[in-house]
Amino acid sequence: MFNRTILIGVSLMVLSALFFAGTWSFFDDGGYVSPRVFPRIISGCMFILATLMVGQSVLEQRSSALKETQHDTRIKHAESRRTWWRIAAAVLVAFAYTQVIEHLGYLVSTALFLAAMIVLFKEKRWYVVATVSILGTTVFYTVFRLIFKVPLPRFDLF
Amino acid sequence: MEASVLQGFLFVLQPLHFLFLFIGVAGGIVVGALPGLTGSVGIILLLPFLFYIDPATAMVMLCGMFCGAIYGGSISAILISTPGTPSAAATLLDGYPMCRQGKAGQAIGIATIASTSGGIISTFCLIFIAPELAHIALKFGPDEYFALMVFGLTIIGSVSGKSLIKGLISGCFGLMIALVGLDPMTGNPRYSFGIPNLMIGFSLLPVLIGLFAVSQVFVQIEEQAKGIKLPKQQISNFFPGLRQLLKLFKVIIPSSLLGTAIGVIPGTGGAIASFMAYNEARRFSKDPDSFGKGNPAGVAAPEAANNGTTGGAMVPLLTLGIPGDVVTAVMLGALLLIGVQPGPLLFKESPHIISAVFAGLLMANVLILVLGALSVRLFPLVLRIPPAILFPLIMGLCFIGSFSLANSAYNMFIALVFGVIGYIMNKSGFPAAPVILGVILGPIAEDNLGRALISAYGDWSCLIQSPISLFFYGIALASIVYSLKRKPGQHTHPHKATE
Repeated sequence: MFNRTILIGVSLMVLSALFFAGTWSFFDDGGYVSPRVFPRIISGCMFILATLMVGQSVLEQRSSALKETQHDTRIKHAESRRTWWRIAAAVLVAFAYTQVIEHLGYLVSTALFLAAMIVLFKEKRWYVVATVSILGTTVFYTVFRLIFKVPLPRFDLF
Repeated sequence: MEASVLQGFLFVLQPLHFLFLFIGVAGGIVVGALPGLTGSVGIILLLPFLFYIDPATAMVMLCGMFCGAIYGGSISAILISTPGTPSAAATLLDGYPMCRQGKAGQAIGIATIASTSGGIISTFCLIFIAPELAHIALKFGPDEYFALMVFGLTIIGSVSGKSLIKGLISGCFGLMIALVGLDPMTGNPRYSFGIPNLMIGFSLLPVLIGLFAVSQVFVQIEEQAKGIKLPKQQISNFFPGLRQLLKLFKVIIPSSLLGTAIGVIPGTGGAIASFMAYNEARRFSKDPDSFGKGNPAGVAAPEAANNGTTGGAMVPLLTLGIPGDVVTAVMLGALLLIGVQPGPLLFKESPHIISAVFAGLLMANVLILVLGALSVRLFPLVLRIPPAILFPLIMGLCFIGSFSLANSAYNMFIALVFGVIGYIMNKSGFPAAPVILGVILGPIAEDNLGRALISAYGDWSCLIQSPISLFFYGIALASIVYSLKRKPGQHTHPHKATE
């Protein structure tokens, strides 16, 4: 069975192979220094290291498979299931924030984003969520817009 | 030399500059004290603000954050047996037992005095060593500079935490990130796929913010369920007695010098220095058995050593442009972002920045003593800041900071992407610091390689002809051998991977 390290290792092997293959598309004028040289060295190194990591991980998995019981594995999986949806939700909320800020404007989108993040951190008191999100938005606005003159996005839906 | 430091003091003591230094030190103490946040995160959170102040003031603020964070780590180590930063891991061995004996105030007092002394001694060493080293480094050619960058990249092995392979993969990943954009020699686009945003490559700020700060917020979403138990005791008797203080200085001075010497060696850092100083203090003690049971020397030695590394780590950073440890690796990125190119030319072209750094470091350490003494009773309150309030605000600051770089939501998206990558790396045991080293040192190495080859008409043997180059390749090799021989996890703490 694939564990996380093996999966990452194989992905990196594919990535480095693609990086290496991509060097053929670079323009080379035949000078002393080709833009292909450095990327090839690095992607080659990455491929070798990723292969070593996969090999090491396979060997480790074989030895640890003997020690770890099915019960241990089940506990680990249950623990990670409890938290992964929270992380996934945080990523989704942050992604939505990056997409809507230029349309909803800084004030509305940031207040909503902060409120959602506070809820994801298991804060259940609505007045804490509201106060912190509004205060946080105001403080950032004061610092970046009023002091540093950063042109923060405005509401732009209509 | 004296004139330069005096000029620096005149700069730092101007009210506005002093205010920025104060904010840096106070912010650093808070960031260092809070488990889950480190000096690296603190520096990254400062970055969006640094664009709006002049480079010398920004450097002073960064110095304050650096010193403050290293000291701040001792507070949570003493009060809740959780080092705020990896370099405070040795402090808890005697700090927490002192706290349990009702001597929390005294332990914090000793840590404060030792940190201040260590920082000041190491800054004096920096003032004397750095200009001489920069003078030598000015004579380096591109081939020698390339060799130096190769050595800088082998530091990856030293900051790799448990697995050397994973550290090297992280470093290669950083180098691959740096390849996106225009080729430095020919100006041709690489890996941009015709996307205009990728033509200029990834901006360093969102990459740093994502890898170090956003990823840490994701980690904390998992961690926040764990509560922190604070001791219910009055914190008093901050200053130890004069006799005890004089006795402790016999430990503080050698530990500070040891910390400085270790800090100068790239890739080492405060964690190694503090454990070594602790071991030495115990070895030379008349009562070694009392160590680990609340011996004040067991607090003084690691704290003097880890703050001793601050000045030491600045030596290779300022003179050669290669970082001394993880925090200075992030600081290197910060300096590049504010338009300061560390290296020997900095001493020649911007001496006012160097004198501001010297004076800033000295004043930061004095401020640590003042702030430590005045706010010792507030430290337990800092540790009570709810994660549900702190981390969402940090996340908000990260995104607005990324936006402010180019007034574009694209950089917010990049910060998020690298935040997810950083989180996956954290969960899979890949250290983030080598990525930054790769991103920063890769283009410099490629640029110097190109220059060296052009000046030698494409003859690759030019890279191994200079004795200075051979010296750097030699110590690079030694650095790799040391990393391979080191037992996994030696001198490291579980928190180090996140640092």
